[in-house]
Amino acid sequence: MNKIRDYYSTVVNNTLIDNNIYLIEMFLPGFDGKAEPGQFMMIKIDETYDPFLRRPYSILECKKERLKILVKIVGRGSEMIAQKKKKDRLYVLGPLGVGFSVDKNSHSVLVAGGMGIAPLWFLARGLMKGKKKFSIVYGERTTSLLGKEMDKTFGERVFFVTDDGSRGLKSTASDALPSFLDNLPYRESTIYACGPHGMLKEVINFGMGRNIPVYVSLEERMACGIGVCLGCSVKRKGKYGFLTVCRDGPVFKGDEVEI
Amino acid sequence: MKIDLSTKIGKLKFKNPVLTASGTFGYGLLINEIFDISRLGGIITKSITIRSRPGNPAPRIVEAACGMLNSIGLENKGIENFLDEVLPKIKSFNTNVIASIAGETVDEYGRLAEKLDRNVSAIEVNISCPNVKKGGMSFGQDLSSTKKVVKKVRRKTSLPVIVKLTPNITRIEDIAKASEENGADAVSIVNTYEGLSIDIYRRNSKLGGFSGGLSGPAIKPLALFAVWKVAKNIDVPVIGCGGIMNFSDAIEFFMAGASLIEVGSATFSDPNASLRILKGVKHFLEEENIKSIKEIVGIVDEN
Repeated sequence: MNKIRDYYSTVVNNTLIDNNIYLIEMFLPGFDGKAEPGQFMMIKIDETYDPFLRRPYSILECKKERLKILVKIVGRGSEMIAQKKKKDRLYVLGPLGVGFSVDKNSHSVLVAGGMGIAPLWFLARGLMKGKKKFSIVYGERTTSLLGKEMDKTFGERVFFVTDDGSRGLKSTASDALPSFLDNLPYRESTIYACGPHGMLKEVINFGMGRNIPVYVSLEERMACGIGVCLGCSVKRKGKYGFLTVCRDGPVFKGDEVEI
Repeated sequence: MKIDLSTKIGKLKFKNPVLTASGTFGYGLLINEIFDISRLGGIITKSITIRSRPGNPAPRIVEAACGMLNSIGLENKGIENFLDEVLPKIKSFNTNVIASIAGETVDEYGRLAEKLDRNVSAIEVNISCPNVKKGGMSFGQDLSSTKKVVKKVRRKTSLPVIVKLTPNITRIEDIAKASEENGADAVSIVNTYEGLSIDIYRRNSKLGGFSGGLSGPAIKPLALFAVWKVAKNIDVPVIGCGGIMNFSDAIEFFMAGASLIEVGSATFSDPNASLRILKGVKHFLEEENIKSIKEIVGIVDEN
């Protein structure tokens, strides 16, 4: 695992890419650019004590001294990060957690709901670079610019699903998944999923029922991001005790955790 | 100028007065990957219980203005796991390892102290956790229970005994005095303040465990006042704790009467906080031409 460091970073670009969603690119001096898809960063909003805690963000993309994250405004903290301008400074701690480990012998099916695309975007870019075949089932409420961006980047690999039918199939990602898989010409598949709680639950149940390996990236409120506060514990499936989302995850095997 | 940062609790020597608060530093292993924790005066472990505890339901953390509420519920794998799995890994830290213990009964505190005797540098007796149904804070809110727990632990170990007190009581100085009279070598002041945060749309608490413990800079003036009140009433050292974010906060606690300090939730917003604070304290003493930390302990009082 790479050494965890706190990078005193500078915003290079902040672009509004969709309603309430910002793509922020940062300069991280000294960062070697090495991280696994699924790993995250803890971002300190400013030098004051309010907000007190850092906010966890999945790595969308990274390279030497550069990091991109996707920020959706859901509360005061994310709003303050979204308002950062070019040259503003942020402390960025990471890379943190355990990311996706890809099974090279099976076809990767990435299932994302809404903002759940962030860690899977990173995974998909890596698969693309490695010239691996993969598919993305992308579910969202309605047509968004983020979806358009996906179309531009990953093209026909993306199967679109919307709640209102405004793009692709009128359904949800988890409902559309079984027939999507049935129509794939591959014998072995592995599912990598991130999105709303309900969606993840359904995807795990589906995978277990069909004996298809499922990896999920979980989200939980956390204080430290490094495994010491035990604020983000998630129940172990079938065994007594808890795992931490920040340290043991955020990526877990579907049969490992109770969600 | 050579600055003397060393201090003592009973016979136990500390190379400097900066410790990390229980529940905010794990067992030191993870943060030791970020910086060399042997530079600190000591670490205080996550509270250890007799049996393994799963902890409270999620969400366990909610932010508050300049602080946070937690409802972890003493999640830990129990004393046997600590002795077999954790202790061998942390024994070699070149700093004081203080084990925090939490019992559901007076007897459990005694058994925990007995098992830890000779295995760690000191014991911190947690009678102040606000997030458990049995034991915890209920001991620290009652004079006679406090006496019983401290007396029991004192009898079962020769290690220095530190008692961590709750501020959720009218007269913390009485509990501190009772701890001292029954054999405590030091008191830690304070654990978290009980608090609540409500989700107005769900019409329920934002925490899975309903109420939680408030920590962070939000409680600093309250904690500092509690330290000042207690320090003038007892002779054993006071360990100050509550919202210490930087060196000047730490200096305030020393001046109010703390001989040592614990850095708590500051570690969550900056994993290097305790080391940064230690460096800042040293720098302040140098700048102010103060040769020993002891010179400023309890220097502030009413006129």
